[in-house]
Amino acid sequence: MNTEDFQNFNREISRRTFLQRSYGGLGGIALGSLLGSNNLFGSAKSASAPPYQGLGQPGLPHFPPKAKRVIYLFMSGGPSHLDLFDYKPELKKRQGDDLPDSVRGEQRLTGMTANQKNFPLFGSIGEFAQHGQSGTWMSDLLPYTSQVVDDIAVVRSMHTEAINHDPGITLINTGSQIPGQPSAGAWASYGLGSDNQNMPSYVVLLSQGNGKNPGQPIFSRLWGSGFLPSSHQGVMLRSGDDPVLYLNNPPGISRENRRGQLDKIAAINKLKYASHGDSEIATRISQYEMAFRMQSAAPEIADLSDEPQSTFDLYGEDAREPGTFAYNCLLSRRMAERGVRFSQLFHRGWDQHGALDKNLRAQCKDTDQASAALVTDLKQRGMLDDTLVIWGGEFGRTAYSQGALGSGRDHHGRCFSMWMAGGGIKGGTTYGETDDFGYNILKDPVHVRDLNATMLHTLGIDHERFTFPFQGLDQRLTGVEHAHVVKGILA
Amino acid sequence: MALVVTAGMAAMAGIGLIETSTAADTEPLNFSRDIRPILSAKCFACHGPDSQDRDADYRMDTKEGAFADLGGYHAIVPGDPENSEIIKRIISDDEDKLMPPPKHKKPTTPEEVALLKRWIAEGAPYTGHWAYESIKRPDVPEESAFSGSDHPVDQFIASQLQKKGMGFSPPAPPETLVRRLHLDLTGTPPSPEEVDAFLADPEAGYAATIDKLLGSDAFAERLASDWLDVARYADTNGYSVDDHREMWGWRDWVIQAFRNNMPYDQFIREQVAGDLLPGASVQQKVATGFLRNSMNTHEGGTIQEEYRVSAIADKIDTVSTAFLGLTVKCAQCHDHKYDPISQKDYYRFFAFFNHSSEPGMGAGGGGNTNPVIQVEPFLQDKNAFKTDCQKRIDMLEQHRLFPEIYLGKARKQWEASVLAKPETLKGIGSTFPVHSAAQLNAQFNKDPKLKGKNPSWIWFNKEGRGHVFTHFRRTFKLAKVPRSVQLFVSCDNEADIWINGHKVQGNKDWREPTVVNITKQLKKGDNLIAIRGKDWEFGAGLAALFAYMHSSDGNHLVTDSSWQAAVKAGGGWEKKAKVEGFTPAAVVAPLGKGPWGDVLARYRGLRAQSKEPILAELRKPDHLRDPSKQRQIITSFGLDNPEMSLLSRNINVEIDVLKRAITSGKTSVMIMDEGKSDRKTHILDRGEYNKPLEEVTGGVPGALGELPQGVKPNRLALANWLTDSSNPLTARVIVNRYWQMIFGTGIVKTAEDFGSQGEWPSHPELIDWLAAEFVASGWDLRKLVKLIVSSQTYRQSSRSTAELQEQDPYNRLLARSPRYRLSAEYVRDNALTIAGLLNPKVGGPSSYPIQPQGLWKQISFYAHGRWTASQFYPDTDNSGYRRSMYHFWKRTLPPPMMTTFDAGNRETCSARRSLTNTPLQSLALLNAPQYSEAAHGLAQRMIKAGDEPTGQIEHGFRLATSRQPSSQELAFLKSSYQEQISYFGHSAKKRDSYLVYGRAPLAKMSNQQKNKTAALTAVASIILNLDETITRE
Repeated sequence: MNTEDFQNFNREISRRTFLQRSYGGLGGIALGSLLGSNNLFGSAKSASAPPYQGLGQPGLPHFPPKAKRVIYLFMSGGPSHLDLFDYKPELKKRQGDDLPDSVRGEQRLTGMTANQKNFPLFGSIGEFAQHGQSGTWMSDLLPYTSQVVDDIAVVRSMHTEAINHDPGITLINTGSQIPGQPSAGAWASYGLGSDNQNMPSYVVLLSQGNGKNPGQPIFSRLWGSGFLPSSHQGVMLRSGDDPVLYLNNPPGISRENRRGQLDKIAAINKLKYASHGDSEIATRISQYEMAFRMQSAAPEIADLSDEPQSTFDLYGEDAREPGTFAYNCLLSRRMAERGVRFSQLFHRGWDQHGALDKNLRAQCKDTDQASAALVTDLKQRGMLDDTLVIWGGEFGRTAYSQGALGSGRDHHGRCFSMWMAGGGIKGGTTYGETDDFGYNILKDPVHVRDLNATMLHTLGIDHERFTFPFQGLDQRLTGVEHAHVVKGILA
Repeated sequence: MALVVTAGMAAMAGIGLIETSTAADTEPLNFSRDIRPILSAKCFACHGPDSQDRDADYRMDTKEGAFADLGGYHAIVPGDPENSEIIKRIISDDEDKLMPPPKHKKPTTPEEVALLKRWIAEGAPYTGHWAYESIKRPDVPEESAFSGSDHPVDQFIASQLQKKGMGFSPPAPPETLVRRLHLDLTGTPPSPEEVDAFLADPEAGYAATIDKLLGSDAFAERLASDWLDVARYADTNGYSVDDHREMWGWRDWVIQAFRNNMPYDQFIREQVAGDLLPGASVQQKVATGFLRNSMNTHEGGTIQEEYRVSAIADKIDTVSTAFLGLTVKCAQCHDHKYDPISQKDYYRFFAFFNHSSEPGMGAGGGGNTNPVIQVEPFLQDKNAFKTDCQKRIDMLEQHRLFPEIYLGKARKQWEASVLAKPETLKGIGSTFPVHSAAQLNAQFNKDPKLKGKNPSWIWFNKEGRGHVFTHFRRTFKLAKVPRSVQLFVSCDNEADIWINGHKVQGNKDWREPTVVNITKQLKKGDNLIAIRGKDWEFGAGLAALFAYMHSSDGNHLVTDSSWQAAVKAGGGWEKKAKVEGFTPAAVVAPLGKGPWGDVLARYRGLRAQSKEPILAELRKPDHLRDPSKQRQIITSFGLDNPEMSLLSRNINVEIDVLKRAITSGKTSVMIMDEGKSDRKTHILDRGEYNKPLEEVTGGVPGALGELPQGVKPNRLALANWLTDSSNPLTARVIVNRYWQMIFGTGIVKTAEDFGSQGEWPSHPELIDWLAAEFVASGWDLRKLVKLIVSSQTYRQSSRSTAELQEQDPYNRLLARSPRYRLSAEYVRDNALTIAGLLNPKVGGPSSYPIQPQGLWKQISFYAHGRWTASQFYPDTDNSGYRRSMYHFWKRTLPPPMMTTFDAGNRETCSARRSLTNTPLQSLALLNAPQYSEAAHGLAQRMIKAGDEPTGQIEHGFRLATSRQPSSQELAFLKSSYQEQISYFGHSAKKRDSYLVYGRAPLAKMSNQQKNKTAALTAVASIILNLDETITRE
């Protein structure tokens, strides 16, 4: 978005804000206009929260955003950076040797390997090669992602304090290991509101990979609203008949019949509004209208009958199968087209403590093609420029083997890899550097909070000024410790 | 939270902005209200209580500091803004001098600068933070002419209104009032009879209604329900696998306490230190479960100490928020920036909880983590409790026998395929020869070679507890390989099996033993059987292995002490001829003894001798099937359908828990103890569990008081300090929360934060007066609630006008009654009551109202190991209609009906909920199964009210709103009824599918009756969806 666009954007925001005020305030409420031009997804009255959920917060974005929306492919369990992104020939050369103590240092180990006598180094199970114009290194476990390297930025110097799944996924999704903070998606929804009148601004899709089934559990707190108004919690879009909870009318009630019922509800609510003057009644009427629209909008997103065969050639035939990762990727593109602000896929099964070779390959097979397809597809549609795509998990995995040599890898938070693409990201970038063992970061560390600061930056938000008062603090996604925007991956 | 928010106002709302406006230009500023919030928000971060990170040694959070001589100049010169350094600095053009520094991104606004100047010009009066000052009972303001009430609450409210030139709204109509009282005090609406009785004499009936409600169980449940949020009550452990825990015994204690109107100081004392009270009763110990509601983990690889520390941090957070209205979290890592709580203060608080023997990582399976206490239910007869557990088991068995909601049409399809090809029916007709433990034991006793070597359940130790994996080996010689050898294995909880290094089918569940033919894997000469047993309960439950190998030549091998066992086994242990580290297996119990009983007989029971009776059963419709035969059918189905077999195993896990309860007649509650009284407490550097600094002992934050001399600094001392009448916070915080419960917003809106950054009270004198009154009453909660709801303030109409909106958009001054949507629990309880469906049972284990299928399974560790609460099995009896406070609360995916309406997830202490208005709420009210059922239930009540639609609709409307519909409202509903009659009249199919969803006796109804019922049901749904129905007016 250039400066002129930004000014227009801001004008539009203030126009909508003005409308909002004119019907929100002071008794002179133009109910008709509210019903006619409804941009709200929910309203909330909490702490000092203004009822801007449809519109986002006044003053946001802080500067012209590069990305209008985010698609976050969250790979739950801890994908192995060493077998996918971070090429370490030294590991193979020294296969079976003990990890030098000087490298391990005072690193905390999980209870699963803390008592291991040896820490035998274990080379990548994949073959690495350079790809694209950029020459980005990538493993042959990711043949499709290897083809889009020039559109993505691989960050090899991610790090986190967490060494277990629960605190790890909680930290990367909410900015804190301790439960209670809002998720990144909830922050985006709160800050920027929705561009879609018929769908929630934050939508969550779940899937399970074949590399470990069931994968480590996940939690609704990962897409929760924490102390933000609960209208910002991620809404699960599920495969099956009821894509959104309670979306379908009871059996025997047609859409027309429902329309008639809603008209009666609205008519009686309007009488109440006229006599009691409570603007919540007006909001409620508009929410029932939006619910009605969502009843057709949500199934329409899930109805792939308008997708040509080329779509399935791109994403893979799995994309026809509701509930698969590929299907969810395709849905996320369809939601992006419809202006959903933040869609997040949670894909389980990246936790290869054992049988790494078999299970990591299975996990990649489920995800590689569709992840790359999403980037390609967005690009072909001209949407990659203003859609930020993020791919990654909560931590990486150890350079040494857990149990017998070659069996699997334990959790590793000191360094791991993620990739980002689209909205404001410089494609073909490889950022950060780790040591020969892929164990410690040598250059350009990126903490989880730096990732979040960068994500907000692409959305036009200064993470330091994006706050919500709670428990006496100006709370932010990036927390109290210093976080920086990773300029090196920005276009 | 229920305010009339207008966007215009909201745009200005930010931190520090107080919704009640600041002083008018004509009256002097109030330091606490007008100035301190600015200093706190803009200055304290660097010039506040944080001694570790204070800039320039200048602090303004104390009077001494604020006015200190800074070496020839002063930050604040009373009466002289121009010469006050802070004014110079906040308006400085020099970026290096400007305060707050631009990099902090918190510039002062022109209004704030003006206020600070004016404050200094007015002489810069400085007082401490109001909430930390001791409570002095204020005088009740003179009776206001216009208040028309001598109620003290009204006089406080009226005096503030008068200053703004405002007055009270007229009283609400009596129908509204009686409904308001019922909803506020019990969460459910009055019956039409109760409304009629009230209407007969509203004036006289008012006090009587209050008394009746305050004495009801529903009131006790209402207060308990509120407390569950604060106390972060849940039925699961919260972290990682999030399996079940048993804490409902504590919840029963809470209900009991409110039922008995336990004084609030005692309520605190018992929950914080019940175990330390002299001669502590069982109930007082149970009360300390409050502190044990912290989350708990079972995640493999967890470092225990990290989570032990984290659980104590949670207790500190809860105690300080719940009782003191303070946020002390920041001080875990560094001195608090805004409130006078140093990092040392934090760890002195920490010390109070650091003597508990609670480990950082829980034992699994049983769900609870030590220390625990086993108790009989408080609120229920022991036998009734056992009966309820059995009912739940029966429901689970039904889910297993007819698993359609989990597996869709799979069973029916499988049955059809079996009937088409009977030879494909598996698992029926076992060839395994031995039929009971008694027979096998007898056989052993007969054979002199085997005498004394009874077949046994074995583990690596006699307790059958203690480790996740145990490896077993047994070598044996075969002169030749027999024609057929079968191996029978049952392992609690699970076993992998190798014969001569070849992995064969394992046993997934001891209740469903595995029989596997191993002839192919055997060889002449030396053979090795290796079994790895897995105990998914991490030592909480018993674990053991039973194996029995039977060959066609009559030889056999059974598990006994001749087997070798090891907890850890090196690589190749399952195939090497010789390995190190194995010792003889220990006998846990002889075959046939509990808890496993006669698995051989059980196996036989699961395997009918012939296919024919099973095939005959398959030809019957579901409702005519014999449960034991259906069980065999399901077992066979599971052999073809892995999902069925997982489901069956998962149901077994849930049943195990219930069986234990039936055996003991008791429930377990996690409690506090002083089991590690010698554990030292250290300040932790940056809050990190493994970085201890200076050692500290228990104590309270110095700025708030101190423990009496000579008192042992333990939890009891803490509890006594919290409940001492001189504590400035405890009484203020609780009266504010009850004010919030009734008016939607507290006098201090930030109910969780009374600290420096909290919001200034809308009625500072009133909160102090209420607090003083409350303490003087002996901390009597019922008296407090009665006092509030008896006021004229409470009884006002909630109608708003353009003028009121303009004068007080957030309704903080209460010139009208607040009007707000019911909280999540009561949205549902209200609908169930209106529909006549609510089951009023008090106390006991949680219930499982229906929710969309698969929600838990999608996120949980379903079918991995033996974790409970990984798949949701709805109640199919009226337990599903109990009050929402009993809803089984899974923290990682709480009941969607609750979270859709703003309930939190109960992971941490919450003193306030948001109040949103979303389309998902509309969808739930229109379509969720329980709301559909409520519509059907309401329609049935409407039908009973008469023969004519008008009377029926009026009755339904009145059930929902306690009032008669207006003629316009009635007209809309009647026209809807006509539309629906026509709609359903045109489609019998739609009508019948709509009605099938309800409970009407369809078979006996004429078409016309069906049309009318369906139409009334649709009208009932409209009534249940009205804004007024879900709103407290």
